[in-house]
Amino acid sequence: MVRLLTHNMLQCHVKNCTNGFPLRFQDPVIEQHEQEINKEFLVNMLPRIDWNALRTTVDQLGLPELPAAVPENPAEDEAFLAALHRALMEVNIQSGSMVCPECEHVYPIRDGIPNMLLSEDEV
Amino acid sequence: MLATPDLRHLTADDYDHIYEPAEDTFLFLDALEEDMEAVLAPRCPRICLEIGSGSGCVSTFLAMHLKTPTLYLTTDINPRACTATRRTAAQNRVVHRLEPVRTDLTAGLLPRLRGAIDVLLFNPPYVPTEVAEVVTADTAATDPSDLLAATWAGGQLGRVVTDRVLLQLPELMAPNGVAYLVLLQENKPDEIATMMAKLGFDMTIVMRRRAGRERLMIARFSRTIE
Repeated sequence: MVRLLTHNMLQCHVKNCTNGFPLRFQDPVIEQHEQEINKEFLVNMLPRIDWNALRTTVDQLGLPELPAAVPENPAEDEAFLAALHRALMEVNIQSGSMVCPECEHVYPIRDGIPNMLLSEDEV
Repeated sequence: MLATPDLRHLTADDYDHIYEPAEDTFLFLDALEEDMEAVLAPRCPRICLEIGSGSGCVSTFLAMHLKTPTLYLTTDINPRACTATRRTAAQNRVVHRLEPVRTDLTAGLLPRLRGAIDVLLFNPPYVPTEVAEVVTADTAATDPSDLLAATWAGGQLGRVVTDRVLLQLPELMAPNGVAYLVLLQENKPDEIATMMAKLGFDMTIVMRRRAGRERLMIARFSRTIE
């Protein structure tokens, strides 16, 4: 269950690969797990989210579109926070893999945990 | 005394593959408890990163007791440790704010999270050993069946893995971030303090304890205020 929150923080680290973000999901098995919304947590996390990467990923997964930009006062915007909560916290990628958009390296998801390990000749 | 995480879900079979919480772990929890209200809570951390989370006991403890809207990212090269970490978080009802990633130290998180780590937790393999005993990412990637040595074998001075992380602190840590590290006297803490001062970090020993032959301590690093 890789959530898009985590995915938004992972980057390809193959040697000489400089633009490996965001990773693209391949053969994702997507589940939605309903969860209580924690607005304080979402607002606290927002400055750490790469918004364009999140929008791109949501689009690639065929999920409901997110607004083009974060509203000026996100803490007051209930509809925005609800959409953000669904995308970041409720979408779970159970299995599949993540592929680097630049070098095409494949990072598998096993038991719901992203595997970012590389062998020595790749680092 | 704050409650320690419930670990009843972990079995003898789990502990054949992952580090079983011991004196060093409990000293770590006590030091975090000591710093909880004065150092950690006022920072309202966004991201706490634990490197080498093992059973997940330390991050889960912080997630249970630090009443801030914090995301707990954890890494471990051992897949069994990653699943154990998630199970420990679930057992203690903090799984919605904790995310395990299988990787070598911080690989795959940089440069994306450059300067974004508000709290860093690391109980490294600190036992002085032959360098050849230190488990590398390559070993972990090709044969993950026996990674227990990764939890303790620290190479020369027990510092090989520790120093790799310490040298990354300038890149990893948020301006007001704090990093916690378990150390032994044999790791030469004075030498570490000098090395980190050159990188712009102050070291404070938060707590010390003798456990059998081990003279353990918890060090805290924060950027030097100019």
